[in-house]
Amino acid sequence: MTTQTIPTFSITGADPSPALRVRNLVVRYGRGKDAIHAVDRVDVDVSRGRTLGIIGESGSGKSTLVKAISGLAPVSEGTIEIISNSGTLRPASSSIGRGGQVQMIFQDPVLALNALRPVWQSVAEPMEPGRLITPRRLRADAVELLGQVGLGPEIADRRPTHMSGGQRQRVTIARAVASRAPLVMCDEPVAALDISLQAGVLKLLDDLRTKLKLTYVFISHDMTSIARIAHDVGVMYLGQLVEVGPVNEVLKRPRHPYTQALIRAVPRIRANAARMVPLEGEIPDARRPPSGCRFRTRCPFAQEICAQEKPQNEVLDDRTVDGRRHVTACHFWREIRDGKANYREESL
Amino acid sequence: MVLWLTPPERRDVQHRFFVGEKDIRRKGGKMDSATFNGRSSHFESSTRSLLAIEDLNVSLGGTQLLQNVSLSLKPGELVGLVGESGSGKTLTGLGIMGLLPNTATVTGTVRYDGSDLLTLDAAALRDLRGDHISMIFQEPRASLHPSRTVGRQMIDVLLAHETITRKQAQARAMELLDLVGLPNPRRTMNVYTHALSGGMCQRILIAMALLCNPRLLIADEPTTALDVTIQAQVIELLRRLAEEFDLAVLLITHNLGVVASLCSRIVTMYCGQIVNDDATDRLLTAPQHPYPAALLKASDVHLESPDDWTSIAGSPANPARPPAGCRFHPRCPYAELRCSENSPILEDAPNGGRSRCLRIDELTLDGVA
Amino acid sequence: MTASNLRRRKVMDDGPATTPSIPPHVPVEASTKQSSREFLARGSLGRFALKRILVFPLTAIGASLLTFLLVKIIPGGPAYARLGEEATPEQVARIEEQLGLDRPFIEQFLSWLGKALTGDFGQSFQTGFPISEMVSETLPVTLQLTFLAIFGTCIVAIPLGVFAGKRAARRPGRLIRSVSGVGLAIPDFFLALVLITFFSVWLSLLPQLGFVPFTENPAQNLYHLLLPSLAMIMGGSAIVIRQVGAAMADAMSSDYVRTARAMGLSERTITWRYAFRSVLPVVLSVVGLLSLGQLGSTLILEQIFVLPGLGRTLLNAINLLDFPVIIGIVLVYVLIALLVNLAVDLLSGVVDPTVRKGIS
Repeated sequence: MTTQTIPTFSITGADPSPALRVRNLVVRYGRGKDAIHAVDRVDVDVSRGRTLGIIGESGSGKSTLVKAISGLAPVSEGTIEIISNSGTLRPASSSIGRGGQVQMIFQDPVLALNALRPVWQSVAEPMEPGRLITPRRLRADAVELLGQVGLGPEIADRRPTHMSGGQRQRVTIARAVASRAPLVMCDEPVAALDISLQAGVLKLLDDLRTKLKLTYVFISHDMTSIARIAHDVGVMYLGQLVEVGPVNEVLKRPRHPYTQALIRAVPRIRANAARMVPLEGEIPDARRPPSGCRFRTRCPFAQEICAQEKPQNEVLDDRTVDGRRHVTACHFWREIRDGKANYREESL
Repeated sequence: MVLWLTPPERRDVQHRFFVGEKDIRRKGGKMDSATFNGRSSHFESSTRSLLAIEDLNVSLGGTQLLQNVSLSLKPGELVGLVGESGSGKTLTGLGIMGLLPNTATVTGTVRYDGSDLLTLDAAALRDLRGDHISMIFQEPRASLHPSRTVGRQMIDVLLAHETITRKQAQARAMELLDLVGLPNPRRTMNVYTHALSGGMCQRILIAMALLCNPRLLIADEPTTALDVTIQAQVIELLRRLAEEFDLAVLLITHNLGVVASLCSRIVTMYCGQIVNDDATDRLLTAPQHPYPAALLKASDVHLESPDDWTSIAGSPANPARPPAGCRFHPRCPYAELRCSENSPILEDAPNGGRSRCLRIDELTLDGVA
Repeated sequence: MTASNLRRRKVMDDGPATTPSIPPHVPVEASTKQSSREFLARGSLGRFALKRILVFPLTAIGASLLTFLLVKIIPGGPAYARLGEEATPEQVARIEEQLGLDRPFIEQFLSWLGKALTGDFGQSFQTGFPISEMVSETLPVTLQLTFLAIFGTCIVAIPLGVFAGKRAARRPGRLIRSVSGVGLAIPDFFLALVLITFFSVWLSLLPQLGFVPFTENPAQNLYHLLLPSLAMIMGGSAIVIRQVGAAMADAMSSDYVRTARAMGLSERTITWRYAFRSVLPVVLSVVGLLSLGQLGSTLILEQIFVLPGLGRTLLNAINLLDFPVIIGIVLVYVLIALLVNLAVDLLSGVVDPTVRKGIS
């Protein structure tokens, strides 16, 4: 058995239709000893029309990553290339929204909408630039879009305060797609919604993706949403990716101990499901990340080497789905897979 | 002092509350069932349960937000209270604590250990809160004072309820911080919340809630604002402490996964009413009301085969304008004409538990397990 | 043989055999708190205070340069002020040379600064009195008046503000708010005139003007300062009540107050140790700002009540274009303002732990 070690944390070998390519991205806040590397050398590949889910605890840097892609966080190092109108990758423009190519959907629809305007105006706003059309026409377009997200015309003149949480989130989704930006960053779009409404909003997002040929980067701390909407998934820990792969692969056969812990922590309803096993401790301070593998301070399998050497990105080439690779960065993923890994000693 | 070193050992608090001629609130003391022999069965059942809410109605600004809520907890029982936002689950919790806004109109009875909390005066209720019944909330960091140290806030609670020295209070606080798994209790005592993570703040709140050995803990969405990994830690902590402290817990949450892993019984609320009250196992295998059945489907996690998109149609009913008939009927896949005409009452369900559904005898609902 | 095995073996070969264990990861909180340097540790009160105090002299020198510059910009000039409009250029040049005004600006400033640091602010062009003496004679009057006003405001307004905040949604709260709203709209010199008309002219209870030094007769002194300070208290209280009331209403509806209630703390503890505790930074900054405002008000009130304070001296100097006096007195005001700001900053650091974190 041979193992391919690759320099980038890339899920795709040679992507025929890339929509987003991020290489070696660093987002640094502050300077000197107390600088925080919120995102620390991250590679991201998303193919056109697909959804990349990014999962991690708060403090993992997943929010900063999508903000950097949208131009809302400073890019300290690395490159971001985004699909252009002609269908080729171009280096991202430096503006917020990357010259209209990237849109964002936020977690809290209350904060994201102007409380004083009727919602159709919020939806119409990104349609306006460069279009000379009458307000009546603009309103008609906005109402049509609201219809596409499942909101009737009677909603159009309401203000956000007179709507339910689910309706508001649908409005922000309509606004995000109104700009025709091909790339949409979704920052926990269903986390604030009731469980009975979450599936509906996720389904809407997925339908819009196919209908409008959109590409999503979808971040969440909730495994369930990721499992439902993403094609590929990346697992982030303390500013770095530790595992990427097709979503079914990663969720069925997680190889990194952190991914395994995240999956185990999901509370399950089924009576026969394994009782959740909490991961110990909390994510360390990003100003002073642990040496070697950053997860080692909480990893049940940590050994000496984990403190000394940063693990390489290895392709698990026995498992490839549609040419998409399962990549992980762990010294002992094989031993863990085979159940032969040694547990860390208490003294470590 | 010495008695405190192990939490399960309860102090016998002297008669602090007198209801009628008889002190029936001996905290921590086991109810002497012989005392009640020969009395009416109603009295017996209402005193056996630690908490018994009957026909609790709450209105705020002319809107009835809780309608005839009846619910009971036995000592040491872990009960989940689930429902969507606006269903009234948090109001129920606040109603038990007497923490509803002054403008609220409240009727019904909330019996704790036999005495009606709704008729107690403010001082008696205050003595009860934090001492017999504690409550923790969703936003752990905001729930702690930002510019008082953790230790001072904990000592405040102890000094409000016990006649002890500051030193003893400090020792007790550190003991609890250790118990909830904070790595360095002595240092944590002098720390402000801005230096702590959300998970740590929630541990501190739990420690604070348990300082005076309460018998009932109301936990309002204690893990919702936390990461899954931390959520799992906090749930494990609650499970362990409930056992060690012989604590009854009313866990308010919208997450059925969290309730199912912790509680033995689940009470479901919809639009200000209790619609279902059933044992967890039975609810998971054969729910007896369409709403919890739908909630179960929506929250069932299939990480391995995530292809089903179950959600409940429509949005939660507004208690200000409740639908006629059964309040759930506009979203219910099993609704018939009569569901929109007749209001069901909460009655004993065929297989045990209680359910508020007109068609309960003819429906066979699928569980997830 | 897999790559990872190869790699691991390589490490075993090269790796330092003397350090077999994983270096423990030091959490950041542990590393910041070093017992030996605890006083000056990051986020500690000591470090915070030291930083603020070290910056103070620089700010003071900057402020005096600015004052100096501003006064120089004023058209006219001391020579004209002394000689009148018809002065010949030769006369002006002679006077300017006499006063050292023909030297470059920065040289003038440095020589002035050098003397000022030793406490010598120069003499009045008009009377020849040393300015430091003028200030030390009149400043106590102004300070006493301001202090009485602030002290009285705190005593009246803070309890009222707390009460209004606690009852924000109910009748007492609304009443206090609307009355203080009216108070905000009335300027304090007008209030002073109303008070004089009422208490001095109609009731003849209190003196309308005049001053007796505290050292001479404390009772008479307070008697004379009662009306002016009352005018300032009424105006100031309106501001403090509004701000404290609003902050208090916020605090009473906060999550931590709900927690404190759920833990059964007494209403008094909740009001003062919890809600008011978090309103303290607001109180501090409002009172700080108010002190400066009231210091300004004394300028006019000293005129109305004919009090021999710093404000009156300044106005006289302005009328006579007595530049050294203007510079000296304005600088005294600036220094007082800076000191008040420093005190507010330091006290906020004591009161609010997040402030210390943000600055140090």
